[in-house]
Amino acid sequence: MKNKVLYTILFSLLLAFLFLPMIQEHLKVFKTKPLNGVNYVTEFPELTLESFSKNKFQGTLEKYISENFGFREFVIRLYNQYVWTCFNKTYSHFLVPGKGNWLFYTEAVNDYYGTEQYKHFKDAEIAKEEFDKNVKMMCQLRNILKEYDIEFLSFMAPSKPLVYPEFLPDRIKDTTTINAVEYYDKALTEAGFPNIEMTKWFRTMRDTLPYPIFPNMDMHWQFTSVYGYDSLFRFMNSLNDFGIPKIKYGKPYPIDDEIQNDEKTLNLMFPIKEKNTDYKLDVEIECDENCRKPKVLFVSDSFIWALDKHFPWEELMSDVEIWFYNSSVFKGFDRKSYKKKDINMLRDILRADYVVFFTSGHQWYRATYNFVEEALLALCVSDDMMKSEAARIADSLNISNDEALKKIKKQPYLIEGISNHDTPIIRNEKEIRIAQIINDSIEKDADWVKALNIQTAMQDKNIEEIFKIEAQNIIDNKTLLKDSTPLDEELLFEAEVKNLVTRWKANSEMMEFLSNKAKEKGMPLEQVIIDDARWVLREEAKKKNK
Amino acid sequence: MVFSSNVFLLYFLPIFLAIYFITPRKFRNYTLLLASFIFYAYGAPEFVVQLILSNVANFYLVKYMFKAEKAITKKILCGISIAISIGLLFYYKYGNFTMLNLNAILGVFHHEPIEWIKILLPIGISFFSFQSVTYTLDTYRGINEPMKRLSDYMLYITMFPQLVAGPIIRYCDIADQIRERESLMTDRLHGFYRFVLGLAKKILIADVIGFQVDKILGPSNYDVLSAAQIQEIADKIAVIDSTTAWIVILAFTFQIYFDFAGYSDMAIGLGRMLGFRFPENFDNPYVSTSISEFWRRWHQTFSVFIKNYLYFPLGGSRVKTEARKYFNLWFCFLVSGLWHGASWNFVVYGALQGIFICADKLFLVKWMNKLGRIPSVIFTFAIIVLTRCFFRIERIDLSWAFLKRLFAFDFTPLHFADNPHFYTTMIVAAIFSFITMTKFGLKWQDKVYFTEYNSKQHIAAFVLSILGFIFCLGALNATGFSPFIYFRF
Repeated sequence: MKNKVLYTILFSLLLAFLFLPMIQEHLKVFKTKPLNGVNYVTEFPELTLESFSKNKFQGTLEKYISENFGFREFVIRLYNQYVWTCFNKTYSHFLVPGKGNWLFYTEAVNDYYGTEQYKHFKDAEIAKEEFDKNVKMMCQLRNILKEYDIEFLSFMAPSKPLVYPEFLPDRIKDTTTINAVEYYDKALTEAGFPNIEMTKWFRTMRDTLPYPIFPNMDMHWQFTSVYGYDSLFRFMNSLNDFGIPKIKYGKPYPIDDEIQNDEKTLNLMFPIKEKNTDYKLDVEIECDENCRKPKVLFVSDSFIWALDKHFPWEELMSDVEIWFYNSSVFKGFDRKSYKKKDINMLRDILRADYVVFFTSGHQWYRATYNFVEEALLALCVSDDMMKSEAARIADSLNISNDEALKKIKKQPYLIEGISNHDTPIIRNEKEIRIAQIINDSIEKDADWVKALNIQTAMQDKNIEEIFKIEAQNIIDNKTLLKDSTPLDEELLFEAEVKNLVTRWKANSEMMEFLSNKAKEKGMPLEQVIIDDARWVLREEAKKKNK
Repeated sequence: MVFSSNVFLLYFLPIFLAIYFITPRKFRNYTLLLASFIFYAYGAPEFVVQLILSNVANFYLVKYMFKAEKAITKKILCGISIAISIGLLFYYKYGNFTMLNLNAILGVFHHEPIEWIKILLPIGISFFSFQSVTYTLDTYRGINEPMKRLSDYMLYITMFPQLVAGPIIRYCDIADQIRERESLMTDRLHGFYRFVLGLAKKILIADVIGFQVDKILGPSNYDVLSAAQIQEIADKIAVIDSTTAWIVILAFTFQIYFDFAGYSDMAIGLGRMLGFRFPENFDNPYVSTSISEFWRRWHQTFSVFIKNYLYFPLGGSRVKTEARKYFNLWFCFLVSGLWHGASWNFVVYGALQGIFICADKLFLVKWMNKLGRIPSVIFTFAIIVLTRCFFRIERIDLSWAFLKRLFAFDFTPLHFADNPHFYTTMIVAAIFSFITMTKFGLKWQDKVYFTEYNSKQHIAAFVLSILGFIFCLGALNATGFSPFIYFRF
């Protein structure tokens, strides 16, 4: 009898236990610490006869549950802790644990051991061919940009595995492959293209400095980035005596703030405590009456963000634009984000004093994230020419016009005027003229910009489209939009709201935040975005007024 | 639906168990039947109607067959019933394979290929088709009376714990339990412990090992791969060193055991929670001293089926000539191989197993007996490992290329530090695979699987199972989702 009661209790407990995750998922009884890193958000799938019969509902539901079930954070942390403690292993896709609690970026480790090439190229010969073509295109782009007083250069951020190879996990090195950084460094130097390679210098520096120049628990450089940026800006200045302000920095000192945070993405139950001390450098920018702050456009990977973290970058540059992997665009010191397709590429390139292809070791296999191809086409080929070339290629290769267009975008050398010359002989003159008018005339007049902002709301177009229409009006001697637009504050405010909403929609982190907010409030997402945009702009206005 | 999925573990299982045990005893079969249809429809919605229709047809055919007085009528109805089950199995499972080969032959003779739309394979068809055959034949042979209610028959075929990957339960073994069964609290608890044990085998061992196997040999089902992907696997195999090749095939040998045995444990455990006693499906197959013994220990319910419903009807060993006896044996294994999948590699796999079985009967077992137990186990295990090449690599040319790499003798040093999780799991898998060669292992196996626990043992097992469940859930969600290998058979 006693046993029967015990078994009944155990079985009841078992059923209660099985229901716990479900209860937690829906009622959130216990507060749990969210997992760090990228969290995908799958919407609860709509159940329809079609979605069910095609197994779409089931697939999405499994995904949804795996992202939302109760105590998910706890069970994942528990298992992560087990594999970390017992096997020095992590399921974080981009991290590789090294020896002695050192973390490395997966692709950087593959690069060190010579296997990264296979991810991008079948063999070393194909890789070399591609690298040579890129070097040639980089030189061509540099030659064109020189015509507009713009310096195009490249920067190779240091690779942590190459600086601290003794902490890498043991693997066998593949010696049959080609190392992208080594190859590009040599080829660019031989071609006379300005380039700085940082790894060699960091490797020498590591033995002379009393502190680690890379944190053990972060894949990126931190305070030592100051040395790198100092070199970069000096180098930039040496190219054309621009008069870039001078960077002065003191000695590094330890700080209590936690800067390195990749360890957090391991999502362990018990965080690792054996972290290197974090350091900081005090940086000052010296600018005398002769100095000029440049506008810099970086096409970069994540190593660029140390510039924001460790530098008073507003004192160093007059404007900054970051084309992150040539995909997302961050403009200005407040990093306003845009989708690449929503900006006028040509205008932004021509506005810069320097264009820097800035990327770390292993990412050079992907150089230049198609930036050089796009820039060459934007500068050299007009829309009409693009269409006629696409038709020609479609005809000769027996493919559709769309396919031909795609081909050209990846291989500008299909166009003769680009491929056969050190400096391409064709120019997209009309668009370049429009871009120059916008940059040199329209954008410099605040009221003009305000008027055109209002036009975005009136015509339901984005600002770049309106800029173009206005520039065309100037060329055609037509009535300007600024002359026919009342500078109504309310209209301007609505236009700014609209622009901010567009920007937010281009920012996945922001959208995740807003959709969570909408869920919490039980309001439609669109409404939450508009309300928040209005609130932010009002607060900004209040701050300005103060 | 897959047992090792979040939907099953976090929603289906708790909701089903709660509703099932709340339901009055006499209606529990209906609850289970409904849950089974939901379970199947969730994974293969397009085949539910066909499953129901074939069940209805079989039920009434067998019912009339049982009532029929004339032997010839019985025979015809029995034949129709079996033709439906096996016909559907053949159409869905071997239709593509047959047409592919037929068109290849037509191509040789410069004939136009026959147009054919590729058919999708309904999940679990190999298992429930066999169960309906046992129902028909057990009734025909007079071992059991047919079910009185259609719902009971449907339940026998579609019961979700064993619907998609067995064990293959003979009608005569379960007929009484469907009509009347008792679900004691201890059974419910024991069932859950067994379920978690199976889940751990699948997620903590098979999936960890399988991840590394897939890295070299690609996914287990080559049907879904493009020509470029197949070429990629071929390229990998061509350059693989012998050490890696041996580790990969050894790893697969353990993976498939823990994957399938894990699934069987879960099925048996779930069944026990509901009051059923499903037959065991595995009995430490890797400690076998001969291939014949291996097949008595591996996928036991399948071996029993083949013996009772194919080998014996062929005449078994009671035939006129020795040659015919060996042919019967070999043919049964050829069919077994083909049952696993419609491709030539499975034909070769089955044929090889058949050859070794015949060799066993002729001389191998005698030789093994002379060698002693441990060498016999090692020799048998080696054969199993080698023949697994044809099981895992679904292209004969690639299987052959892989075999050559095994014996290329270009061994490289093994680095445990390269992947300690994988190698540790391999060691754990090896220990659990061979531990029953010792008395200690046998004693523990008996304690864990087959002994009724006292109250203290129940508390310990309960706590361990809960922890195991949490741990498996963590592993499942930290590493991603992986279906069972035997689902596609």
